[in-house]
Amino acid sequence: MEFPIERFELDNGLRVVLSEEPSQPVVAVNLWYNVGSRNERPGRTGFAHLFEHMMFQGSEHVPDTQHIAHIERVGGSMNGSTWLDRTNYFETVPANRLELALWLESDRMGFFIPALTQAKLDNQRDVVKNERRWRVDNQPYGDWDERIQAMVYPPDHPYHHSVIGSMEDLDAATLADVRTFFETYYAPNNAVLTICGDFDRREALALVEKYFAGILRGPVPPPIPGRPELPPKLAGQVVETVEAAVGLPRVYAAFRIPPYGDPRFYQADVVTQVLTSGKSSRLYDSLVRRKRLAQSVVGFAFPIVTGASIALVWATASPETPLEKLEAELWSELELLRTAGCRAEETERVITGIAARHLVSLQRVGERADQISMFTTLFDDPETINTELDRYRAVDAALATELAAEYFVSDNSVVLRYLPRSERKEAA
Amino acid sequence: MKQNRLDRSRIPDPGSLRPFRFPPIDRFQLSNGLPVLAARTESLPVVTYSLLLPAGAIHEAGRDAGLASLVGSLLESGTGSMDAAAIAERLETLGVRMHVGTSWEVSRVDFTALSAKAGEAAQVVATLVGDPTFPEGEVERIRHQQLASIMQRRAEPRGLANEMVARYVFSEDTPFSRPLVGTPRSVAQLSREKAMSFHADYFTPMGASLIVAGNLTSDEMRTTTEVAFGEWTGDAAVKLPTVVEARSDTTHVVIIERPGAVQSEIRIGHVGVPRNSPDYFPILVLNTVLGGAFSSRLNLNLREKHGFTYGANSRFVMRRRPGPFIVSAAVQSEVTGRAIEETLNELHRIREAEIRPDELADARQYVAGTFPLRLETTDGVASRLAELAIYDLPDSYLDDFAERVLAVTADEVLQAARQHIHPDRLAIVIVGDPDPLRPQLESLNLGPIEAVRPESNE
Repeated sequence: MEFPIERFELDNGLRVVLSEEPSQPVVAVNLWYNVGSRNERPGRTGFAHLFEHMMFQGSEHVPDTQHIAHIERVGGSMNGSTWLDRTNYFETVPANRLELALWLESDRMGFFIPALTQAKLDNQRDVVKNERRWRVDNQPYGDWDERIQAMVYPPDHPYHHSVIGSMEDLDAATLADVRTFFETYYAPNNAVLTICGDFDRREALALVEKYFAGILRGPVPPPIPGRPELPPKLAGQVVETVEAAVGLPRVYAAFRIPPYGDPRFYQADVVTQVLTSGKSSRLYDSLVRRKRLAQSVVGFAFPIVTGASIALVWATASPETPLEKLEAELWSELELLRTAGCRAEETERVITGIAARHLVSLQRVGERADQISMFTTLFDDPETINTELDRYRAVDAALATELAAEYFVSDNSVVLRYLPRSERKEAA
Repeated sequence: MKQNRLDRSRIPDPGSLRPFRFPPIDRFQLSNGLPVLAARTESLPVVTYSLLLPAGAIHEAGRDAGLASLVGSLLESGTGSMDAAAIAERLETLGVRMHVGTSWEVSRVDFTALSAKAGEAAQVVATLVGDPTFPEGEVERIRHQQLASIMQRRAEPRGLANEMVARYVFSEDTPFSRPLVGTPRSVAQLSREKAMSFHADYFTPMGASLIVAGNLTSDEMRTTTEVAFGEWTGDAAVKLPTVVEARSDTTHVVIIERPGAVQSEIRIGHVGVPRNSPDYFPILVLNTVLGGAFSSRLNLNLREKHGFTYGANSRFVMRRRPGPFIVSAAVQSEVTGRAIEETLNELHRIREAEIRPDELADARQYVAGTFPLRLETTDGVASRLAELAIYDLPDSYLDDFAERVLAVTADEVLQAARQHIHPDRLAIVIVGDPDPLRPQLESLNLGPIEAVRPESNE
């Protein structure tokens, strides 16, 4: 199964990728800006995400809240999201509304500043603070990624802080910050535009030219702040225990691994899935099914590229199970993987699952467009959507075992434990 | 100077749109009488099978709440020569994960496979559904997992709020008042015998339907389903009468205490409408204007105007019988009273006057236009076919959908609002920190205020 890929670049540096597939009369427009929380400077954590919210607050020719309204009223859906390495904006619309989507995206790429007001910033600051309360502060285990990132990456590494940021830093953000951030990062030469689905190629290119070619190239973005380079592995184990409003104890074990794109990243992903993916995985079979110590196990590797990535597994204890016992069993399973090795049938099964889920998820044009933007932004290669599975298929049991022995070890690990907070004492 | 010639203030016109058609629906029966609804999609080589069973949780005795969910979770625990570990390996070697969704009126067993593996996967799944062995050890393990997940959900504000609003919207005798997964008390006394008996009564082809959507030929669909499911037998499911009543006919306020919470999870609701309501299409448009989209009144008010929340929404949950109508939002503790006040204002306002012409046009177009977006995947197509099977809708429903939505008038929306939204009989449930909440709620004078500790073991 091959997705067609055509790649162009406008004079202003905007990279454009087209992928036609006319089976349904819908089209996806997807933009990745090569900026994420890793680009935030000290004292402004959470800013890239707050900025993303501001992109929905109108631009010179589109009134406040109307970006989404325009898409909804034609029967489309739209959103944006911010992560460590990037910020994306995307919509899926009926095929005859491609021009509307390009008009909207180009207006906020080229004409964002004139619509900016203090009132909009104050409103979205409140919304984002409520998003933080909802996702993180009022949610059991909600701060796990914030804590893991802070332990896996040193304070001067751009992944040390979370995407959502701190309340203090959100409070500190100013209108001048918004302007500067836009001028620094939101330029055509720092973005990738992907169009996927049902469209006429010549018409689409003409529309892209019409709406985006006039937007001026921006300066070359500054280097990522802090120190993105770091040793490939941690210098020992870091442990943190948190008492919080959670129902059941949970332990996270995270490992520093090579960044996304490195062949060893795919090996690490396969190892993580041998451990946790599905009911045939090792940790499910052992901790959940046979020993009944865990309620569930989860694991994944982060597809991030700046210096080093993270592979992690977590296990939620069954009621009655002491967390130390679960943790000890988790480590002995990892030990077993290193010493006795992965079996060929395990890596093959995991890769079969990755391939099947890959195809199932790519049924959506929006998902295809997002992946193409990702591969173009991170690796300058949209064709990776057609070739990435080969990188997984190159992982065999021997490579997976070798990787596990090198990286899934306590000296290269971070352990985060959550324990239920003892009940607040009430007056009788 | 291209940009000078481009008038950016002009909203681009739409081009012409190739009309969307739902793929042709093929209805046939297997040799055991099991009806099949099949639709062929031709983009990627994947296919979704979805078996709808008459095994909804309304068939549980009240004291056995959670039994249908337990039986669903146990389907992968043993059959014939395979134990749970062997089943997992077998399915995952095919690249397949089976998903069992228990709901009130049906249980649904789904899987999505590469087309080349579909027949084999269907055979495995058919065996799991038709012939589970319910090993004693697995029953105990899964039952304990269910107990623990009830506990986990109650420790989580959103899950707790959802459970509690159902309890305060519906009368105690209404199954919908209970959590689908049951309560600590009910799940504590479930057993292998109860699971086997529920399975025998309700996991039967009599009253079930099978859905197939994806990239297979008509012959392949017929063959794979017949080989897998054609010999499955069982008696007709026993249908029990089900009560659906409101808990109260006046507004009442319930604080679910979570000391120290930095946000309030608000749920405001009452008994809603059944899926076969004659007002179905006006209700879709009504809810879109009120709280069904980003640009809805509730979200623009609570989020974009006031910054109280990350998002506010409303929905009519429609079942064969009336499900709940619910407004949801998570707001800062200090502004909870004001957020509830704004929500009630919106519930009153939409009953008082017709929605504006632009709201009507936008909402109709949103509902009609987003319908095909959900048909990109085989799973999405299967869900629409399931809707036909569960609610006895004609095949033409799918092709007529857009036309029906676009014909809704502002007056129909107003009548639907007056008939189906009841600001005078709301269950207002708030999971949050009781100390700051109480004075805010008292000053609103909405009705009696009750405070409940969530840790009760019931």
